[in-house]
Amino acid sequence: MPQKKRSRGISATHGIPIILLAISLLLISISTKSILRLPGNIASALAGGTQYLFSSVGGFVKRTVFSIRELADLRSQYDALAEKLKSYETLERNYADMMSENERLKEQLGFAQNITAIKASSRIIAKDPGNIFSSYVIDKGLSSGLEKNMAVVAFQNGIEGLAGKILDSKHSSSIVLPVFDQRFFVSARLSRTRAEGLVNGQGNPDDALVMRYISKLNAAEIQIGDMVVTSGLDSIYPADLAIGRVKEIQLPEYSSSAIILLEPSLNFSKLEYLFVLQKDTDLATSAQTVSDVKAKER
Amino acid sequence: MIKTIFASTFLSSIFLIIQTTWLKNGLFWGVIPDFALLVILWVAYSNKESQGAISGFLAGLVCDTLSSSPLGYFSFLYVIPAYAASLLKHVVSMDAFFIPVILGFAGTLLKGFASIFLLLLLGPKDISAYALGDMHFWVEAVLNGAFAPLLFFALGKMRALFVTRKVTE
Repeated sequence: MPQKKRSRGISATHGIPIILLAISLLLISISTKSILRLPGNIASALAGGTQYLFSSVGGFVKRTVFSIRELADLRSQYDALAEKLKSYETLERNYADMMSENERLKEQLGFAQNITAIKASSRIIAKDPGNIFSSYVIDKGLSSGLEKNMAVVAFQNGIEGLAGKILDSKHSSSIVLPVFDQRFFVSARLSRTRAEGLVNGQGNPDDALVMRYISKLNAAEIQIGDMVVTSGLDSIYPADLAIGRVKEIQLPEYSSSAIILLEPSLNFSKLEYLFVLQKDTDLATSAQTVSDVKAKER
Repeated sequence: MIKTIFASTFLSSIFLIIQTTWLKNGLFWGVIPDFALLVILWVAYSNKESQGAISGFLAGLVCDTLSSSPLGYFSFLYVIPAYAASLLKHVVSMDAFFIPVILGFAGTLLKGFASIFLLLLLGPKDISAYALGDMHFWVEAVLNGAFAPLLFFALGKMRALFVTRKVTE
């Protein structure tokens, strides 16, 4: 009899966690609406995992073998970087002059300043409990008229920078998905060259933002320190909100487009207050109209 | 059993709220130690049945509501280390320092592997995961390992609240 009791105890020890894991997976699948993609995902996960393993091994061997050659290349890279630094310093010196000149030109041309309507000012009251996801909890929610997918900005050092968007809104609080989150995407353009791309985060506030889908041809015109702003071509973010400055330009051999690394405009470790912008789909429409007119003119 | 599950879920939830507020800027290098995980690990190790896994599941649901993660994500992440801890009790017996450190460190690693598994399974659209090459992950594992002896000692003093039946029974 005691043996029977023991075996029932062991099966419960194994059974309950397995049931709980299955429930968890089911909940994730339902909440992410990915249940239909599950069989395909399992297959691609297995294939992808194998590819990743092989690629990692290959990459390790390649890196080891070519590390000596890389050392020799470092010298020439250093010289090139020193040259770039010089041009960057010049750009920095001219930046303030260019800003004021830009303001004057805007007035002369009669362009209205992009006035972004602030729906609510809020304070950050909490952050994500773990280190995997990155989100902020603000003290305003549905009761203040906030909704999912509203743009969130912050002011720092005189710059109105894009901070993120509202992921979920509750009665008196909202969850904000910051720009540096891996799940954050925003249509952006380079302020100087007007080239468009897509910016997303890497999951850590200290890491650079990544701008993709800029053709290598356009990338040749980009300089370190160039400002990247929102393009306004999506229905969430108004145009010309600062996102970051170009920190590094990568031109991978395998791709026709460049990868631009950006230094975020905002220092997220110092953020205390966030401002939620009025949802205005008209902004996107007007931005689209302007680009259509430009296209026609061409 | 219900009392144990309720008490441990409640304590884990309190720790989760502390992690989101008082510790929101992290303790070291911006990294937040996972005290809720440590509570779950201790409960899983100290109880004979699946109390740790159940409270891990419930605390995970609480964590999902506090986080931007999809519902069920942290439940999955907490059940796996809890299950492993409940198996570990059959192999090693608890001491004051080394086992808690190993449990805290290895529990975080398991949580990390579980997050990578979910990322591979469901894709990056809604799921984030620890990066094994990211220093923050290893700092969290070390912090959890470092805090485990202290927290386990404190939990040991409240054994009546968190343990239904002793392992040795």
